[in-house]
Formats: sequence, structure tokens, C-alpha cells
Amino acid sequence: MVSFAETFKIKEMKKLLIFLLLIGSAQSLLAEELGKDLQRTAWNSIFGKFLGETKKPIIFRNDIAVRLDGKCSAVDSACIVELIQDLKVVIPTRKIYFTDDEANLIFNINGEHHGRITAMDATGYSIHSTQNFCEFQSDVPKEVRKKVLYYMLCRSLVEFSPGKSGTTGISGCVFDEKGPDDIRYPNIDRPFDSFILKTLYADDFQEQFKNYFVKHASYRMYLIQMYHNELDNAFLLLGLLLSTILLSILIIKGAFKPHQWNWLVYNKQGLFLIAIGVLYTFCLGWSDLSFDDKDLGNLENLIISSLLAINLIFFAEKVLLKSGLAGISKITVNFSITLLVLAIVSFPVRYGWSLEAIIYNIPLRYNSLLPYILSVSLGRALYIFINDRYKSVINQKDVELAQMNELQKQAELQSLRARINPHFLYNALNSIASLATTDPLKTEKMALALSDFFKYAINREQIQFNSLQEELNAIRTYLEIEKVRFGDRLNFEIDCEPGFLDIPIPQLLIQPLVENAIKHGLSQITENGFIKVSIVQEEQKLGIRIYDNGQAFPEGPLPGFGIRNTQERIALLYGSKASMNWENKPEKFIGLSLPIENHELNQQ
Amino acid sequence: MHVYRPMDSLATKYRTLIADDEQPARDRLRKLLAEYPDKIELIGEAQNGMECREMIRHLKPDLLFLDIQMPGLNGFEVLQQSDHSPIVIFCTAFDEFALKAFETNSIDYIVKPVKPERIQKSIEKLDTLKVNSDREGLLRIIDNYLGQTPKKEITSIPVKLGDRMLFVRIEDILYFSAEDKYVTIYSKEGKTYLCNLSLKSLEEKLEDKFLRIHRSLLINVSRIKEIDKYFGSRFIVKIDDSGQTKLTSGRNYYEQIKEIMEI
Repeated sequence: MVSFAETFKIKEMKKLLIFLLLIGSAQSLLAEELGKDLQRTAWNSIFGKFLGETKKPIIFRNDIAVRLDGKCSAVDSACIVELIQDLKVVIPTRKIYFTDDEANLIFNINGEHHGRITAMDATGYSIHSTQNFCEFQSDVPKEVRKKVLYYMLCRSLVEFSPGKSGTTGISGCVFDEKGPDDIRYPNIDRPFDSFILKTLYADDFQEQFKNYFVKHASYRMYLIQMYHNELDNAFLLLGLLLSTILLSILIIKGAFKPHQWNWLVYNKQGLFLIAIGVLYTFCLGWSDLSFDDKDLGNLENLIISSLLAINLIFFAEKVLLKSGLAGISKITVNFSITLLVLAIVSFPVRYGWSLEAIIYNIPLRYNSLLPYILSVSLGRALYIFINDRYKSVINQKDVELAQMNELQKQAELQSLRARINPHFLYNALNSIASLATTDPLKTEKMALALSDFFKYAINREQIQFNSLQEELNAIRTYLEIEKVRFGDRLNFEIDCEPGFLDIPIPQLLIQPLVENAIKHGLSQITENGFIKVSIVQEEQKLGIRIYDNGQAFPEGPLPGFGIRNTQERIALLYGSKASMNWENKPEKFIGLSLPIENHELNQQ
Repeated sequence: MHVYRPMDSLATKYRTLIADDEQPARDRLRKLLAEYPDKIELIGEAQNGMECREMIRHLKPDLLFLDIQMPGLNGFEVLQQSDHSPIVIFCTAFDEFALKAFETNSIDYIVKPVKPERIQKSIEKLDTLKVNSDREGLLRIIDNYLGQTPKKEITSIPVKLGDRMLFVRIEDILYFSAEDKYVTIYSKEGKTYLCNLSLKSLEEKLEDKFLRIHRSLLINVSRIKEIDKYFGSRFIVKIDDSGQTKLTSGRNYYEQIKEIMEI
């Protein structure tokens, strides 16, 4: 059994062994023995320093021809040749050679100035040529010359990606230091430098990069690293799309109906908007899949500030707009208040509730926030404007529709009005003709009654309502005319409480029912016919009943339009407050029940 | 019942009966006929149909002034129920269909209010034509007339709803469905009403507008949207309502539906 401590010791020992081994092979540029940790560091450096937007390192894509210019000595040439020899092992994928002729990697040792000029081609990741400038005093030893040239060579072979400034974390690494003086050469980090160069120049660099990420992190991390910008854009787009869709659905579903200054309704609508804002923020955060406390703090600030904002807007507008401001001035108030409130409240979203931070950041903040605040305020004003316009158009349409309905109702009522049966006139005139020679007085009475009745029935002024008294008078006249025809076969009685006589009644509403009672009831019996018109109060309603002792009402389908018209007329005039009924037993009657206005009841 | 004694039994005089349920109408006719004492011998006045039938049987008049609209029996029914057949002159208020029937069959008629000239013309016609009453012909015309008269159009069905009555418009009814003892009315507003009429009687009264498609279904023809064939000699009838109701016809009604819908 090996104890844990022992295992640990063994591990440490191994590390130490590898470490020593690395030191031992320090002279070699071969990097096969690079440890796992160093490999990871190297990969992180590659990712951090050399991979830009294109995800391709900026290296020589063609053969590398090296030339020495200027006051170069034989020692320098020897150093370069040695370095190229080493490099050939590290970068087997390029032909690297020393030349006096045409070259793309030039060391100019003229001492005029220091530095490196690099020309790249249009792709942005391929070095066209590089010229290095440096100066050596004549007494500089070979070791130092080789170190400087090594530095320049390595730095020439790969350029940092623009804007990338990560460090390798390995002190003395050639890719970390600002100048050749700081690098350690030769040192244990040379395998590290070599590993980086070898990897960057490998034909299957992309493949290696991917494998490394997938192996050590995950495929997802690889994708995130590779397509960070695309993901950023995609999630931004997704956020915008989701927010827009949600907002549209909410608007269509009527979530933003006028709140009528109802605080709860208004806040509910505000919460919908805040929820959309939170969703949008989440979408932005998802792109790097790393929500930390700072993000959550921002979110919290966002929610609190938004709540504060909508309530400030609510109360400010309530005070300013409840008086009934409309049109452009209303929109102006909406816009100004939104702008003002957002300008005030937007600070804590970013900086929390620290007054110091807010004051410190004011100039900075307005530059970045003003377009946002302006567009939100304008958007809100526009939405309210369109909503108001839409509402006023709807209102107008409603009014028009109501007017049309009223006209149609009037036309329907007109068509449902009772018309006097011409037979009645023929029969009455026949009676007058027969009375004329025998009973002048009765004839006169009859002719006048007929005149009265038609005056009422023709209704030249198209009056819709008459008092109950007028209607009952017309009915009495009608019955008297009919009594001349029917003689003893027709007896009638009209009962009405005097308090009801002033109640308005639709013109000729009752008379057709009386006419029906004669036509279908009494005219079918041979003697002692009896009709009674009775007006009584039924609970809160006016009960009108016409009794007769004639033929019973039929069962089943009804022909003709008389009774049907009467029902439709009261339905149009009174809605469901009026009703109609008939009974055959114990007494035969047909009845109407009409609503009475309260003040009319009180008059009794 | 007024019965006059014959004053003179001259063969040329027409023993005349007046039948009208309205006193003034009788008075007027009597007075106008009194202008022709040598032609008209008034033997009685009947106040309603039953009385008229009895008087015809007992008095056997030659001439009858007959009102059509009378309580009890109407003018036509009186004639149908009488063995004796006098010459008939109908007296009636304006009735489009009756007048048309009389005109096309040369039956004499007088329209109220009665004018003296019209009476004179009728009596002159009696003399010149010496019209013998053709009882069979008259009855045939009456039958014909009664058969032809368009029944008054059915417009609504009264439905009791508690203490109120509703008149459901015929055109608003989608269909009737018989369930147990009751018939349910399905209206276009999606409402249903119960009524205690039989489907058979409804079918008879509404035959031109409604179609029986099942033992328990009577549907409004004007509300049919579509008829599709279905297996087993049946049809699926789609109703033109908001609920897109579908009704299945009965096997026994296959031929009827086919014929009426001209499928």
C-alpha cells in the first residue's frame, strides 16, 4: 500500500525529475517534452497574443529567405546560420535559408536605428517581409549577438494580433519581453518559445487548436472562442428579436390598454416592459455565458431604476395631464417627462446608488446614454401619439355607427308601425251609408268618430309616442265604430287607473291587439261578445291586457305579421324590459308588459 | 231570425234571403232591395252562418244575398252544407282572391259598401239571364277557390318562456329537433327554445320552407349551406350558422332529400 503522502511525494518527485530533464535538454529547441501545464500556458499565450479577429496567426506563409545587411561581421553570419539550423527543426513546414540575394527577412546591422518594419499582405495574416535594425559594438561577444539575433528572429516570425496584449506568464519568454536584454538565452524557456513557433507554423494549426480546446475545455468553449464576435452579434440579434416579438404580442394582446390613471394597471404594464428589458439584458450576457455578481447587480439596479422611472413618469404625467391636455401639447409633455426621468434614473443602472460615482461619471454617461434616452422617449411619444390617433378614429367610427344604428332602428320602427286595415274603412263606410237615411244623428256621430280615429291613426307628425290617454281614446273610438257594425255582439269596457293616463305609449301599439281580438276572436261568435282593455300596474311595470271571450288563440305556428310586428316593436323600443304574453285559460287575454320610468310612478 | 210572410205568391217574384252578420249591412241591403217590390220578396234575414243554413233548409229561397265572413259558418260552408241551392249573390268586403274566383266564373257578387246601381244591375241580370242555379258548378268553384287560396304565410312560432311569450321568426329558425316529447327550436342566434308541438304538425304547416331529413329533424331549407353524401344512403347536411352545425339525415329520407335538393 502506498499512502497518499507517498503518492504525493512521488508526483512531486516526478515533476522535479521532468524539471531537471528540461534543464538538461535546454540546449535543444525540440519541444516534445514540454509539460502539460506549460503546454496549456503556451496555448493560452497563442490564443491571447496571436489570434485576432481572423483566428489565424500573423506569420510567414511562404518560404523564409534570411539576409544580413549593413556592417555585419562573420560572427553575425555564423550566429544567423546557427539559428536557422535550429529553426529548420522547429519549423519544418517552411523552407528557411540564408541568402545574399532576394530576402523577406532582413537583419540590417547598420546601427542607424533600432526596431522592426513589417509589411503584411492584404489578407492581414500573412507577413510579406520584415526588416530588423540593430547595432552591435565591435566588442560584443558572440553569445550576446546570438541572443539579440534570436530575439529579433523570433519576434519577426510572428506578429502579435492587433489589440491583443496577453502575457505568457513565463518570465524570460521571448514573446513577453520588450527587448532582447530581458530574455534569458539560452534558458529553459526556449522549448516554450519553440513550442509556440512550431505550433503556429504547423500546417494543421487550426486542427491542433481545436483539438486542444475540445480536449482541455469543451467543444462549446472552442466555439465560443472561435466565434465570439459572431455569438455576440447573434445574441444581440436574438435579444432584439425576442424583445420585439414579445412587445408586439403584448401590444396586439392589448396589454398596453389605456390605464385611466389606475396605478396598478399602469405598473403592470411597466413590469411587462421591464421584463422585456431583463430578457434583453440576459440575451446580451449569454453570449459569453458568464453571468457574474456584477451582472446580477446591474440587473437589480436596472429593475429598481425602471420601477422608479415608470412611477416617476406616472405621477408626473398624472399631475400634468389629468386636466385634459390633448394633441401635440400632450405628446410634448409625455416626451419631456420621459426624457427627464430617464436621464435622472439611468445612472444607478450602471453605477449603483453611489452619488460620488454618479457625479464623477456624468459627462461620460451622457455621451453614451443620450441617444438611448432620446430614442426611448421619442418611441414612447410616438406610441402614445399613434394610440391616441387610433383611439380618436375609433371613437369617431363608434359615433357614426351609433348614428347609423339609430337611423336603422328608426326605419325598422317605421316599418313595424301598425297600419289601419282597409276593410275596417270599407265596413265603417258601409255602416254609415246604411245609417244615413234612417238615423242622421247616429250617422253624424259615426262619421265624426271615423274622422277622429283616422286623424290619430294617420299621425301626420310621425309621433312615435302618445300619452296612454290618447291611445285609449283612439281605441274607444275604434270600438264604438265597430259596435255600430256588430251591434249587441260587441260589448266593451276600458279600465285604466287615472295615474297612468300620462304615461307615453308607442303610437297604435294597443289598437292592433284590440282589432285582432275582434277579427279573430269576437267575429267568430254569434252573440254577447265582450272585450275588456285593462291597464294595471304589474310590479314596476305597466300591464296592458286585452280580454275577450271569442275564439281561443291557436297553438303552433302563427300566420301574419300583426302580433310578430308588435313584439318586434316593443323589443326595439324597450329591449328585454318589455314582454308579451297570452293565455287562453282561465280568461282569454293578450298582454303587454312595458317598463315605466320611476318619475312617472312617483307622480301618482 | 226574421221570417217574412209571403204577401203575394206571384211566380215572377224571387223569394229572397239575406245573410250577413252585421246589422247595418242587413239594414242597408233590405232598404235597397225594397226598391224592387215586384221582383224581390224578402223572406228572411240570417245573422250568422248556422242561422242561414237553417233558413235555407226551411224556407228554400230562390235568391240568396250571402256575406262570406260570418261567425260560426262562413258563406262557403253554408252553401256546402245546404241541399237546396238558390241563386247566390255574394256580398263581401274587398277580398282579392274571392273576387277573382267570382269574376272568372261569372258568379254575381256585390262589394261593400253596397251601391244602389250595383243592386239594380244584379236584379236586371236575374231577369235577363234567368240564371238557373248550377249547384254542382258553384260547389266546384268554391272547392277550387278554397283549395287555391294561398294559406296565410306562417311567420312565427309562439314560444312560452315563463310568463312571457316569444314569437320566434320562421326565417331565424335553423332547424327543429324532436327529443322525447318536446321539439327544440334551434335559432340562428344560437339559442334554443322548447315547444310542445309535434314535428309532424310543424312539417305540415311549414312544408314549403322546411325539409324533414330525419325522424327527429326538420330543417330550414334556406339555411342549408351544403349537402354531402354519406355512406348508407344518408346525407350530411351542413347548416349555415356560426357553429357550422352538421346534421345526418335518416336512411328513409334519402329519396325525398335527393328529389328536393335536385342532387
